[in-house]
Amino acid sequence: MKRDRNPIVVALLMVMALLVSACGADGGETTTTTGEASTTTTAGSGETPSEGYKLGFVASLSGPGSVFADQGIQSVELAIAQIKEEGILNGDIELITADDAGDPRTSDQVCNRLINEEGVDAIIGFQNSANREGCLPAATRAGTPYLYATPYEGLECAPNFFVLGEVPIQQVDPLVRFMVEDQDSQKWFLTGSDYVAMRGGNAFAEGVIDELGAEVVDEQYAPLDTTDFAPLIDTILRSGADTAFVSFLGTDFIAFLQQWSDTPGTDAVKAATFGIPIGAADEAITDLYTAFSYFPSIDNEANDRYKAGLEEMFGADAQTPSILSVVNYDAVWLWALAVQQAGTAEPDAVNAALKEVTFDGPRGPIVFNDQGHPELPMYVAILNDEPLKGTEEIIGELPPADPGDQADDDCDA
Amino acid sequence: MSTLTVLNALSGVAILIVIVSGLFIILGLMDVINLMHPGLMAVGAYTALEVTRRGLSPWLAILVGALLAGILGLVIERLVVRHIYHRNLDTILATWGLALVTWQVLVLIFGRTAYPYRGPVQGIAEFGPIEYNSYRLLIIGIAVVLVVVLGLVSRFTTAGLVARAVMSNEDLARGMGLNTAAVRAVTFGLGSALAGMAGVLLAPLAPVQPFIGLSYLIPAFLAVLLAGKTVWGLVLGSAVLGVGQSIVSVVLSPILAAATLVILAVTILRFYPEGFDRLRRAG
Repeated sequence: MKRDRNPIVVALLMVMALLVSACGADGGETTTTTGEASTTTTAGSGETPSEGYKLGFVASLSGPGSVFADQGIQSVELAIAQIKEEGILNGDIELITADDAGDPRTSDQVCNRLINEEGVDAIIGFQNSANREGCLPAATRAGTPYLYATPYEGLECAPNFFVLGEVPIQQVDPLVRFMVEDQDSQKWFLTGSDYVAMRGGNAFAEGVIDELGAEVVDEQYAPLDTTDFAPLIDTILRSGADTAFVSFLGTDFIAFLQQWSDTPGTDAVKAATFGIPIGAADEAITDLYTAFSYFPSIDNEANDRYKAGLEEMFGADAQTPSILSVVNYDAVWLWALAVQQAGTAEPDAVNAALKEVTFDGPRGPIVFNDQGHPELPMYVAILNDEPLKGTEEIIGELPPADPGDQADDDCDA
Repeated sequence: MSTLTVLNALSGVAILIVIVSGLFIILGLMDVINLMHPGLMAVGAYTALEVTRRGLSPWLAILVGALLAGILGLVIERLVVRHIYHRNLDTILATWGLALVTWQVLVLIFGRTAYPYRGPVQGIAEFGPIEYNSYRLLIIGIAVVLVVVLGLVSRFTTAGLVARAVMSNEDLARGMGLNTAAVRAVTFGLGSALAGMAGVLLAPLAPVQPFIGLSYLIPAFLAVLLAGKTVWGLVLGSAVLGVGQSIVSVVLSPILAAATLVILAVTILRFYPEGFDRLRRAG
């Protein structure tokens, strides 16, 4: 027994340090690929037209977020084509796409290039929060409108910052109200990944639950990168809750849902979420309640036109529309309408006009408030399949939800 | 304490035993800290994914996953580990480096998508009033078989005798004419195959992605430290940590449970620095 134990301790410390640094990168999402940023030009016409416009589109075209990139690009291209067809602007829109490679520093670089070298008139940001933080400061310095086409955690505020997706208040409040009032959810178990967004969403839910006279029986979180959810599921079942509010990050959500559906007794407990369980096996998702401002099966004229447009333009390659694609579509349209209203693409004028225009899109009318956040119609749906497939069942349409205050002032500082 | 809680604790221990056994063999026989372990688990899991995608049986996937990881282990032993035996820190760095490379290669081949995976048995098994997830029952069964086989092999076979000889005094064993280099190669291959199998077995619980099993690395190493060098210690070490984590998770919270593991292991090692080996010898 001459084994020296010091190396083992060193090894464990090393591994822990690596795990911690990996988690710090972006909410547990591991971003190790830093691909070379590339700019491709898909111009409306060969030469830059004299009265043309330049629109920058920043997304993760490589790296972990890249699976969604096509959804965003197709919707942006469709909007540009429709805007041209309707003659909204007197000049072509040149689309310049840039890759943030899932890395905030790359995001900063490509946005600086879009603004200072390409001279874009606006940026559509289809990025996660970390990469938005990389891009937005450059846009704010130049005053360039930055239209953020992603649901996010809220509380960002700048005179050139416009949000298309929902913030937690818009999603959680209507969902909890619907569950309590419509589905008779009286005893809630709040859970999720041990992460600021999940704790924040659940804290907000607790306020609404209390206000409605229902009860939170317990609240517990699972550490990031949990594999075995059996003890947590056991706790949920023994808590006597009739509703579990379950919102996990990334692959943890997939693992949780799989184990939830494989545990006896869980069908007696309703499950609701404000997360997006992308990548879960279809059979792992049974009767999961959720709320978003868009589902592909929404029945209105603008949505029909949007879906038909995608199919016509991209044929067999057309992506199924989703909340992640429709925000890009709305963003381009709102920017074009603002340019039309302002009569110029000059940043300050467009930033002001963006707060005045309305776009009647697939989700319904979208108007930005003074802090650049829109009221959004909300739909409650039951998922019985992976989301983003258009197989959800919409069971409730709710009045437009207010995004709340992002800051104390009107963000013009 | 409900039946579900007990079965959860049991299957939690079983999962830990399945994951730890490969580490345990390599550390016990070779004194090599194999940080490539989670990389090999991922190789096993992706292999299983490819096998079942071709319409083949998930039972076969367990074998193929173990086999491929085992072969990869033999190659790694031959090319890298063999040259840095007895240099503990170097083996740690080398095997961790190999794990990083493995993860990146898997990302390049399969992308970053997490793939759902369905195991050989699904749904809920019923025994009278007791019903439980049948896949977790299967893991309990596999862990029992694994422990029995490991115990029998080390106790009653020539291979086990040779392994124990090399383990207790390598120089003497070599002096007796045993080919210790070959013993080590086989050991590393076997440990790698067990890692691959653990990856396949974990896949139906969590989706297949490069870092599958990584979250088990710390509990697994703690269990190996507690285990010492006997199969008996392996079972006891895994049981103490698995049951401890389960109970704290249910009674207090899952977050405290993660911390409990480390506290438990440190406390036990304070009194039994050689793990449960010493405990057995004293008693």
